[in-house]
Amino acid sequence: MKSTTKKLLLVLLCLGASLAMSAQTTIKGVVTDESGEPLMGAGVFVEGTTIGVVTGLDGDYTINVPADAKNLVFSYIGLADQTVPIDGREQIDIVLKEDSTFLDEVVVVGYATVKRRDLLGSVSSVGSEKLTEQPVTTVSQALSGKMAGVSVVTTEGDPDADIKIRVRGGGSITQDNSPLYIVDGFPVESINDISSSEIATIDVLKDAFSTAIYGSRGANGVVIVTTKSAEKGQKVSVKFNTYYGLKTMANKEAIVAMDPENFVRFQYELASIRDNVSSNYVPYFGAFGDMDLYKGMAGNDWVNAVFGSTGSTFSADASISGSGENYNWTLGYAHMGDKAIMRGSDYTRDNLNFKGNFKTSATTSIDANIRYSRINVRGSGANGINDTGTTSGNGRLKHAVSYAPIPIASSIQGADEEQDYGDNAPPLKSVADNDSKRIRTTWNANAAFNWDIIQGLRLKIEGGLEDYRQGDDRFYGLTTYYVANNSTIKNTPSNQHKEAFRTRYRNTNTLNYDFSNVLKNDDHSLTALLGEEMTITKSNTLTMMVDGFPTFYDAKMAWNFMASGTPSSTNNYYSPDDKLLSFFGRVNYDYRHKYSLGATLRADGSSKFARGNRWGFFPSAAASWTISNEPWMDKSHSWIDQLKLRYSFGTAGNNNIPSGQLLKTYSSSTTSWLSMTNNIFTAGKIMNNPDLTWETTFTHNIGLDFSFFRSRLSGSVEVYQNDTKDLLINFPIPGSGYDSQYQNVGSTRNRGIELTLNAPLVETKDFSLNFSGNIAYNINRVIDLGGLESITAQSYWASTEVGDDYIVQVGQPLGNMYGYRNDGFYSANDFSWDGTKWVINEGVVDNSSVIGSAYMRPGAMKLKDLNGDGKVTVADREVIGNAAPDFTGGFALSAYLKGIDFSANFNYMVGNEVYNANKVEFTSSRKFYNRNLVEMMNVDNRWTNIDWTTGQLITDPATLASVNAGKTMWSPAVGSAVFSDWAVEDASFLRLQSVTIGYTFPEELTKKAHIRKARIYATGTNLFCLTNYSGYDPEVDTRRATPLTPGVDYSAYPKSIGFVAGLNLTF
Amino acid sequence: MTVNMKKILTYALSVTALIAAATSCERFLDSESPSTFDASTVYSNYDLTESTIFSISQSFGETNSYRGRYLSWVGLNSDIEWYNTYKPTDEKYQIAAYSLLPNNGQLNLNNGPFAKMYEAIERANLAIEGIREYGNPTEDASMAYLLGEALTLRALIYYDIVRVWGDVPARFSSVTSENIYVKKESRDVIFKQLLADLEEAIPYLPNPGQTTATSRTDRVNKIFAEGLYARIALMASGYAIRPDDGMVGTGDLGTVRLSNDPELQKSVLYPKALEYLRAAISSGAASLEDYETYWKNQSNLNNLVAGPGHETLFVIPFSDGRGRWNYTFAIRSEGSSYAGGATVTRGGDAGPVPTMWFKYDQNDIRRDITCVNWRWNSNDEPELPGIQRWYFGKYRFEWMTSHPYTGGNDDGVKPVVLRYSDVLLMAAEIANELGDTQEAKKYLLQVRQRAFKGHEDDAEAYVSAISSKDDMFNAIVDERALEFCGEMTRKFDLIRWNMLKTKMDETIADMKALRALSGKYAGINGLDGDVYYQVNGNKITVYGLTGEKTAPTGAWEKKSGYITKTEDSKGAATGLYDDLVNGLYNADPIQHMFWPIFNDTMTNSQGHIKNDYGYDSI
Repeated sequence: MKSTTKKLLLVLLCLGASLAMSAQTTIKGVVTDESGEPLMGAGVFVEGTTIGVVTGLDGDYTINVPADAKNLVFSYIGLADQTVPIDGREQIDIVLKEDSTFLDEVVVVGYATVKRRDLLGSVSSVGSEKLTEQPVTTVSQALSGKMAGVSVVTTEGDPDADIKIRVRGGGSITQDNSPLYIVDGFPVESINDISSSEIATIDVLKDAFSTAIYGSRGANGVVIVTTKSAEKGQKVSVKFNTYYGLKTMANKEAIVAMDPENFVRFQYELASIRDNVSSNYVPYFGAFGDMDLYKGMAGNDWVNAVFGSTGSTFSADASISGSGENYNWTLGYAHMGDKAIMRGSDYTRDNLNFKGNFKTSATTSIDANIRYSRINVRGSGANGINDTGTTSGNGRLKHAVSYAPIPIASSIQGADEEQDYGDNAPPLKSVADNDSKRIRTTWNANAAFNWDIIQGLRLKIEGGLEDYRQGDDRFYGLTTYYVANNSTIKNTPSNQHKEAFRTRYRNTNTLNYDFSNVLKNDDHSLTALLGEEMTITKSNTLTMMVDGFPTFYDAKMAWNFMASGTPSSTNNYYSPDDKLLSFFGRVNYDYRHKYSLGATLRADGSSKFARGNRWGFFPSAAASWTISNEPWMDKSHSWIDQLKLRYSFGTAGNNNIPSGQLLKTYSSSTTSWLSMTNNIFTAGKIMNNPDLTWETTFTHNIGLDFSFFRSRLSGSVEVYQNDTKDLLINFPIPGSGYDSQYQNVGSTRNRGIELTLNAPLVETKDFSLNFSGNIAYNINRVIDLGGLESITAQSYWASTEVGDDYIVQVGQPLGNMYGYRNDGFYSANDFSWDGTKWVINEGVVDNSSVIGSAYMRPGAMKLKDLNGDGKVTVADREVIGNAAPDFTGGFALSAYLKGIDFSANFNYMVGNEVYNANKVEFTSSRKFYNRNLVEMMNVDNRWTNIDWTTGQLITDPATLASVNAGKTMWSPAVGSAVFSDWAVEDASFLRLQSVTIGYTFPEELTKKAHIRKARIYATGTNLFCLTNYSGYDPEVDTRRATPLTPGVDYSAYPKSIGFVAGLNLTF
Repeated sequence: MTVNMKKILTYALSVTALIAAATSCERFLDSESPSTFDASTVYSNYDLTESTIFSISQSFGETNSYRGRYLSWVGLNSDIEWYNTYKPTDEKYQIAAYSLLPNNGQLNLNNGPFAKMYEAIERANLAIEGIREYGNPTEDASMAYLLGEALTLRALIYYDIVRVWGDVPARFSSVTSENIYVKKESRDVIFKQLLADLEEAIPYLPNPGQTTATSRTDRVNKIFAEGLYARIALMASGYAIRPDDGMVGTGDLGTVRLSNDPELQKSVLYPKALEYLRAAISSGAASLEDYETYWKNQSNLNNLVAGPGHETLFVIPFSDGRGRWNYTFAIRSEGSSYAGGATVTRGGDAGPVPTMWFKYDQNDIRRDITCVNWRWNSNDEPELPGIQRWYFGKYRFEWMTSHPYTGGNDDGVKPVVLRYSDVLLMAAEIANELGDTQEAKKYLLQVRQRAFKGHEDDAEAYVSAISSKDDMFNAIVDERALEFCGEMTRKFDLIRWNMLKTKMDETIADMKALRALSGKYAGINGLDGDVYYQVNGNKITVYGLTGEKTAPTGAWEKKSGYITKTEDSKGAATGLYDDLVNGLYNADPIQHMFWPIFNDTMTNSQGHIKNDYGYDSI
């Protein structure tokens, strides 16, 4: 192994090292490591030139250096570079020392930092290089595929899209499974308002020993973000980065609407089946004989009209930092503007941050950190953050596909106009009528005072304040459901103005003590942490509804002239303060860097629970054994750097429910529905529950860290089991008098294995090649549902037409899709014509209760009769898919050659299934009229019951069979949407997230312009996605009102392909 | 010793400090929203309590509750009102035609009528408990009124629940964690509670017009509660499909029968009910209005006024921008702006059966107010659709003068729940059942005379010709159809009389006779089924429905085969074709007189609620 690698290195380095042409002086020597082993393949260079050689088998080298050469540089992978003055010597022997490596990375754990080699728990980390090397709109996106066991799903393609981060599957059933986010010690709701250029590292704590110190909310993992501090040793340094990019809709061919001819033919066939040609076809499309008019006619491409724009992104950030003996500080500003591919959709973000550290005396210092961000999101159709709901509301794709490609009269007899409002409006009008504007600003200020009271004893007093405000304007134009049904002044535009305020205070006091002075023994190391923390969150939401704007008003006018409407309701609701009081402690013991023990205990009191239930105690313990430090491993030291086995066990809590669930309290709300009042007091629609308590996760984690060949291959393997008990569920209880109630119900289990690898295959001055990758496998089981066998859920994409389409069952994983089994379509022989209608033959399965008896005829969609009673009913549904992936992960390749850098980032999921609701909607007539379908349903592909020469329905089975020979799709005429396994697709994918090629100008050139580093680069994002999934994008999740319905692809905002060019400058 | 004392003292002090610290921690962690009140605050204050009573009515306005789903379907189909389109696959038609299933897309909703009506029940329960505990209703008459209002609203909503589902969970105390899931209870238990509640409430309630609150029909008054008592007594002691005793919620098919409960027999309930009705009638706090004016006012805010001289006793309290009554039931408008507000493309989802108009005496002014065979076209003119399409003339967009229709799906019409003529007719029916046909005649005559405005003698002759208890009963069966057609109460009258199917079959036969111009319709048209019509501004005159034998002269448009035609020129079914007529019901209306409990409700009951009456359970 060792020699092969060395040979490989030799070859590679020979390529990299240029021949020394002009030989003035010859220097010889031997390069060894600290143990005296000769190092083969070490690089020896003349500083500031490209002249260099590599050492031979015995670590020896000979190099010819120019007369003016001053220093020689020695380098070896995994060891620290050394620069040695030549001073006229001809023999220079060098001992290269251990470099700080992966193992010496500082990792942030709760209330402290440790070196990775000393980690007891399971922590994944991403550094700033990885975050800034590819331009992304949000930090969460940049994490995708970077960390084992951390799944990052960008739910849709809009710039403010909700990004679901799940650590190890997520244990909760219906509660939010998002992890706890901590930015510079401060708990925040989201990390999307931070510019990736501000971030130094992101550490994700995964096992309970690591998360237990955070107690509450640590159950779903903890994401710790540390922002950048000034570079050490640079008095003043200025950095400037910018990029500009263009993007277009990705994978546009996946969904193509039928052309006018096929659309009209479909309308004709549907009207014939419904027996209303004269009332529902002729008035819009003319007589059957005129159908030829539509042949070859070009229709409106609504998808292109709505999503076809070329988007652009511009980003610029600048930071200035400085450091001295007693201080370091950094000040940064970042701007990003993103014009998305959908009409009227854009996004801007501005960030300002300051961070400083000041040593105020020999024993005291102060840290201060202020961040400001402002995000402005414009445009309709983003199913964005804070916007989830059960109605099919916002996605605009469905209009673009299903709206008629040719102009037709809009009034349709027999259609329920309530449904046509909002659902079948002209696509561009619908975009304008649902316009929205959202501005989020956050101020976050933190300060800490550190005092080394005596040697080894450090007191840290931290205080922080976050002030968050989101202003939201949502316009309702004339085609929306709201103005037709709920507005107090019907059929006039309305606007909802909402302001959410949140203020959070935090105070943390910690005492760290290092017992080394007491022990006075290098073999033993003992540290202890004691702390207390208090956070108070106050929030209120102001909601105003203004109806009755003049009918010609568009969104902008309604926002700017709000006084011209009539206010119909105002409410300002103050939530109960969310208070958390915590005490915690941690002890770490280490013997000779071989055996380590750690224990933590945290007690959390939460105001969300009643006295008696509110204190949660979350203990944890961990042990590790660094095998490589055993004396009997000494022989392997040449190739094993580290081998460490870790085990941890612990608990973590979750109280992630809205506050105020304990008591039955009455609050006021506005109503516009009653004749006698505009104000009512109610106890609300969510029932109180005084018995609520902590949801608790018990974790076992075994980890093996390894590092071989001087860190040329390092990584870790983790095996875990997470049991989550007393799950907090917003349990539906309609029919009782309330819609739902938060309850502690049941338990779930996640088991999994994760592997992380880092392999810097080559690392020299001019050439490097790196591979890193990770893979995670997780299985989820519901252990118990509090006595219930199952809980069903509806995704409601088709309102209630589909019914329950998800099911949670004991012994089964979460995310199970529930529906029928498709059985193709009925043949002509399955029915007999009795002179007036088709009668199903005996022995043929009857699914009229699912698709409607009027649509039962040859060519109708056929489903499997699972219980064998001869008919398909709701009893014939079963689990037909699961949204959770088996494997997730990502890998990255990066290389560097003489100033040119290259990197490619991939992420993948295997075994996840998507519920392709688009496919169902765009292939089914349902109860609607005059809606378009996709090309899959073209008359050449699908079964047809029409004789297209006469326009009559064919009633002869033999003729039908011959007309429809070779057809692949059933007739689209159905009474309602049917969810069968046909709509469940394997959505495994491998995505090339980004490819970047950059070039760093030689320092000699840039030095003259006082530029320390200048780099230009070009990046392509989302260049390809290998998948069998037939929709736009396999990474999708649109029905997010409850976590019970993951993986539905319904009217999602399409994703885009982007190309970006950028510049990095450091002065 | 001292040292020990000190130690003990220190120890004691630190323990005290710890306890103090712990208590203050607890206090720190107690958190309540500044935007909320607890029950003791709310129910000891009149205005706040009133606001919680209003919240009971909020559930009426919920999108898929009374507003959009319950009121639109609850009374269909009967022998006099129907959903006049035959679409066997349409889930709306299925509701009307008794062929709906537990997965009916219109009603199988987690925010549908069942959930939202129980939401109202819970709000009423909280108010009843809260006022009793904190409101001092025994001393404070105004709080007693609110208690009476809560009890009455709960009785109304429960009556509405029971009349469409039969046996349902009985919830007469607020929901706690222990009783979130409740099985169905025999409706008899519910009836007895509702009747007892109304007995308690009636003394709390002033008569219409007596107080500010009772001067409005969106607030509860004594006569409404008395009338509701009678209505519930009639239902409780009447016929309906019932599972065998003890078999509720077992999937029992049930049989049509009376209750076996001795307390729910006519002999027990009727005297009490009659007592209440007599008190209501003698109070003079409500009266019959001029029939046409009354219905014009019904579309206006005038029907919010209660008291002497006014007929309406209670309405569904929709605001001027909520409710879909005219949207569903008004005379159809195909894009007319005649109503003066927005263009209307609404109304006419249901209408009177085509034979209804012919049931009225020609001097009965209710005929042309109730049954209208024309609709508005987009030129603001009346037009004549087919014989199968009749509309409820009681409901007209053009009559909405105080709050004109401004477009959208909601119109602000406040549907009448109880009006004085129903009090009279219930009194007539009960008095007759109790053997006092003379007293019954007195009440019937009032209703009949108002209907025969200008021909009061006709009414008197008709009433005095009634000679027996049976005749009187039949007269009431007829009179309730003539008086209340379009008010969606007929179906429940037929159920309690055990006449649902026979009367509907009669209507089917009548429609076939009408189309054939045979039987009792033989003489109504002597023009082979043709009719003629004239449009004059906003008026349409139809010629040929009252026995005319010769074609009119002058500028008349002819509608060939208006009555008799069942196929159009292209061979498509039209008019009173067989499928449509037979489709008055498309499944046994007896077996399916109640709606099924819908799948969503069953699922969310975690198996506690099951369907009876032969509906497929999930």
